[in-house]
Amino acid sequence: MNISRSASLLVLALALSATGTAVFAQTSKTRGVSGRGLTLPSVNMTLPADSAVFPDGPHADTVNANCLSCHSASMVLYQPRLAAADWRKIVEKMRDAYGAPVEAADIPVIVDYLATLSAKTPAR
Amino acid sequence: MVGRRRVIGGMGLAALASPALAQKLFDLGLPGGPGEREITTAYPQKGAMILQRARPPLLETPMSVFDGPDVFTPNDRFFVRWHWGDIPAVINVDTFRLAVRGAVQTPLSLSLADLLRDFPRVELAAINQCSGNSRGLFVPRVPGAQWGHGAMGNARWWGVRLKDVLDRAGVKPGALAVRFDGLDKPLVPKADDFAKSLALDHARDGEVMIAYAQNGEALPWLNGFPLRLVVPGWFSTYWIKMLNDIEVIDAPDSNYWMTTAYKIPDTPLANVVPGTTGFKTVPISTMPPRAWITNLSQGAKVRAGRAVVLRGIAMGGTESVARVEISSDNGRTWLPTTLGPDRGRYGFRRFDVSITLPQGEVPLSVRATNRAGETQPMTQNWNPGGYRRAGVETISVTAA
Repeated sequence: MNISRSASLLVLALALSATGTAVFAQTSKTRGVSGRGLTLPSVNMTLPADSAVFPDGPHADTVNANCLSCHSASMVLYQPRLAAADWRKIVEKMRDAYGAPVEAADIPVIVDYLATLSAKTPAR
Repeated sequence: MVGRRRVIGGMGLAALASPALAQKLFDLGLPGGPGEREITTAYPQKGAMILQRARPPLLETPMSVFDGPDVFTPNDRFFVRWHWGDIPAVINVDTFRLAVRGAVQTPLSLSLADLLRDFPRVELAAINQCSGNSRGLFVPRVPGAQWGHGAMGNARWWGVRLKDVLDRAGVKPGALAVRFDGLDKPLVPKADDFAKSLALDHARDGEVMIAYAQNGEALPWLNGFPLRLVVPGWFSTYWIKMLNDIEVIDAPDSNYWMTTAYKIPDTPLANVVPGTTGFKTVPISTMPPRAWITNLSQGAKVRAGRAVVLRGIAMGGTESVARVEISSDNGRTWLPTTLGPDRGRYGFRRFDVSITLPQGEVPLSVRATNRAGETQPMTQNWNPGGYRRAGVETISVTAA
């Protein structure tokens, strides 16, 4: 883009391997791909389970069934106070943009549950 | 998963959290709430993080982590943000390939060994900040991930220049942009995979890089192992994690994530009056200067009438930090601070200053200005997406 930007990049090249940073040296115990003093080991990770559900109330089961397959309840419960019209927009966005398979008949029920719960949060 | 019932806090229901969790609650102090969050240590390769969302993970870095002394954020405290829930748990470094395809002379399928050994290695210090960092502090409040200030981190990235990889493939004449995609996928069939694109000239500027190391180690899994795009000075939405597909395109990107999501008002500071509609929008891009006091938080108690040290971090966005100033009178007068070493124009810079405060409740404001003269307004900008917060941050402390 310009000379000063390119100059701010530091090309380390082989200097790193010459310094022999032991931390990254491949050992017999570490399997992985190595190059110039850096080893990238294969990974096998597990995410913690999330058992949280929506608070009990009318139609909580519908909300649990429609919302929790893609994301945790906390995403919803941590929202600021929103009006029913805002919740409707969000639910429709989840269906239209994010592919949530929400039945049309469930939308008013979900919106009502969320708006009722949300009304307990102070306005700001 | 849903069968084991546990009700979490939020929406005024924090009292329902279990006693075991209550000991580990952290209050982000969001206006109107709910601001209480669980502190979690349950995520692989991560230490104590603020749990915003378990699935797909949103983990926030507590502000205390930024209190130094280093300007680089430890990998195990670096914030985490995923859009889609299908994140591959197993990544085999021997079989992993990065595809370079589309409008190129020679499509490539690069192994990690190719990237580690066959391209010049570059290092760059750069801040990775979520577009919606600090969204929870917007007033009026807006929906979205309710972050405090900790959806950001600074690291030394090692990798290869995107330009070098594109040059090896040979970009065809007529190409417009480059689209980047990672291994994560939607859990539902009818949604756009998360992908982002950069204009071709930007992609070839010699600074945008494909990173394979963060602070001298392999990237944490949750930060995009094994490869992540680094776009210095630009918001994190472009820093595609688990990058495995680079497509040179010769038509504008029509993906949802470029055309609809992450759009901001095309106005100074991306600012609009709340309630306004019909304004022109553009994809979010560069970061503005910002600064935070890190050794004191809202409501802290300090000694009046004697020197108190304030310290913190600042960022310049697309240019280096030129100066950081402190005000204790809501911006009427400003006191210069001393800057720490410059560890890279795109990274954090530390500052500190000694100040004597009068008795009472005192607002402490901190303002960063970059080398291009871009600075922070006293009044916060606002937009309905809660993006690109740019104004001066102020905390209130009690001096006695």
